[in-house]
Amino acid sequence: MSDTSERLAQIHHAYFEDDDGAARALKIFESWQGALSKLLRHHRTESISDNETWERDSFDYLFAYFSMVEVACLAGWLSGELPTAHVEMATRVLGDEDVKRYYEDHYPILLPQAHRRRVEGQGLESNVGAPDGAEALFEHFFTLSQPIETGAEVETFLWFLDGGSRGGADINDTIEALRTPTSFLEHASARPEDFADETLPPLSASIQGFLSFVEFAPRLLQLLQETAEFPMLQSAMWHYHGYWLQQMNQHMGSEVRRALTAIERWDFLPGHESDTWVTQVEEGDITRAKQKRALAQLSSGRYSYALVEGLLALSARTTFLSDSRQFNFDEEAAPAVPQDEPAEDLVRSEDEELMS
Amino acid sequence: MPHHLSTLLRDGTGQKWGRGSRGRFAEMPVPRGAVVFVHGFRGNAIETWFDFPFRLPKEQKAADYDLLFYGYDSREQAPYSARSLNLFLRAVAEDPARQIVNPSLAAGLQKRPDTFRYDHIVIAAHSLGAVVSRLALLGAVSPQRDPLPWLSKVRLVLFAPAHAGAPAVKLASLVFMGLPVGSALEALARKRYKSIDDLDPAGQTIPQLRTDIQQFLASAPANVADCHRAWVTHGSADWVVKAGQYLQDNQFLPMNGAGHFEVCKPTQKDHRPLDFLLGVLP
Repeated sequence: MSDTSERLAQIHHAYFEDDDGAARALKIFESWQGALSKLLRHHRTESISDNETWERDSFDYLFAYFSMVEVACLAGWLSGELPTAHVEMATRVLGDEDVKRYYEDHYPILLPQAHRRRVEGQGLESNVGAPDGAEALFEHFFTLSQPIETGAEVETFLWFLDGGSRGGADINDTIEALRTPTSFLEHASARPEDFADETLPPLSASIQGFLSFVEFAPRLLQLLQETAEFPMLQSAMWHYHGYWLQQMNQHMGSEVRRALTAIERWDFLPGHESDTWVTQVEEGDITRAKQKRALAQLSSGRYSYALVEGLLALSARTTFLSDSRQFNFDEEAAPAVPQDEPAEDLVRSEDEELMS
Repeated sequence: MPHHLSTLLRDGTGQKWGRGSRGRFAEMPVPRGAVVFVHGFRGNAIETWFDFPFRLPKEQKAADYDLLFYGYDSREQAPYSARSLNLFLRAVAEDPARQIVNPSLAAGLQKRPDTFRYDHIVIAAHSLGAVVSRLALLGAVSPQRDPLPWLSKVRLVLFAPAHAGAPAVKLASLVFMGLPVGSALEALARKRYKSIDDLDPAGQTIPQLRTDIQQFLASAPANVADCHRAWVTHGSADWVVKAGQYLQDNQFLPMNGAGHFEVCKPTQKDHRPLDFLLGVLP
């Protein structure tokens, strides 16, 4: 087994064995190839049933697999020719018209597009030079991204964030449940084994997913900042989670802030002696400010450009120009010089705004 | 790179170990040792330890160690979690190839021989994880109640350990994202998180743990008793546990400016948690 095959096998294992979501999608694809347009429709065309959301989720895992392989290629962690079996499978799945429409038009994500081009022989260059540093950063990214990607709780929260509902609950119910510490505790500490069907109720899953997501954001931001030396890789890492980060910017960022603000209001609890809690409260304030700052920076779009530009340079096809318009961010959120880290005074002013 | 990508840990029957336990296995066929990371109250197998999964593999000294991030449910009583960890540690010590490494590795990667054993097992534990780990080690006994011989391979490295207990009101506030809680919410938190009562300095578990370790230190062979002579670090800004000398542990390393959660998280700017652990690896 070649080095590339062994390495690809490890990524494959994560998405097809540790979590079998990608395997489920492949099975659905094999059974329904050519007739997937209904299942893989936009949710505003016709609402999605609970059963359909699980099947569609499995396609998201499959796209996450292709995306992670693409990030690995751009990091130089996977070098040389990809194994034939992978190339054939990726070409077949990513080239299918119904599947393409899903990840290009309905829910545009760039990494599967970049990977399709790669397996068609038009891959982006990794440009990481001496790869050791970039390889280590990829390994960090892989570890960081696994829990959030394979967590059903995070998936539920993100689905709610996207305007979806499940079991009659949605994003408004999530925020409402965060308003009081007792309902927060009920949902945040719920366990699947507490329920007859051994499944978390969607609202509890969404609350727990929200908590994982806000804890994840500062870590992702820190990693992106450490990857500044490799702009294309940095951008690819952002794009791996980019769909949701973009959604936060365009539609739901305020919802996440509302959720965090709902928690801050608990400060006024009866019975505590405030002078003994000063350090602790300050620490909590700093943590939440960091989380808000991370969410604001991650959803600003500043990390999206390198991959967009790389793909534009690769091909000036009209279809792709149309794709890239999906990734425009509002002027206020997108800084003029996207790859530079924010100037200190900008960061300070963001912090001050978030703390206020 | 000297380690494979992280993967879920599975036993010989394919069942997952603990709660979200993951490992990064050394690429070399026969590594010398394993580092078993055990998180604390409301922690998580991997996230408690960031950036250890990323920074430790880059260190030459860690190249021939498997990195095992064990997860458990801190809502459970500490002795319950300890029993589960005890079973995991027995697998690590007695049958690692068949019970952990080979079932967890991706297909196509080189498997370890069934006879493979670690020379060293380093347990790195944070906060409540220190109590769970010490209880798990105390439970490593033969049917005749003798300590198992592999305990002589174990070194215990503790970050902000809660082995002397922690105030329930502080732990309850952790349940509520660090915000202050009154007595009603504290009671609710204690009901949901049974391990809070285990950390009560005046409860049953903490005093009994101290007594049991004292007896162990007095009666076990010297090389076995060493597993409870821990290396310890405390942060100066910790508001959850109090720093102090515990039984025959090594004198603790003060980590200036570090809080309860920073003390176990090496970063690009702060290598102290990493250096502390590396200093203990045989």
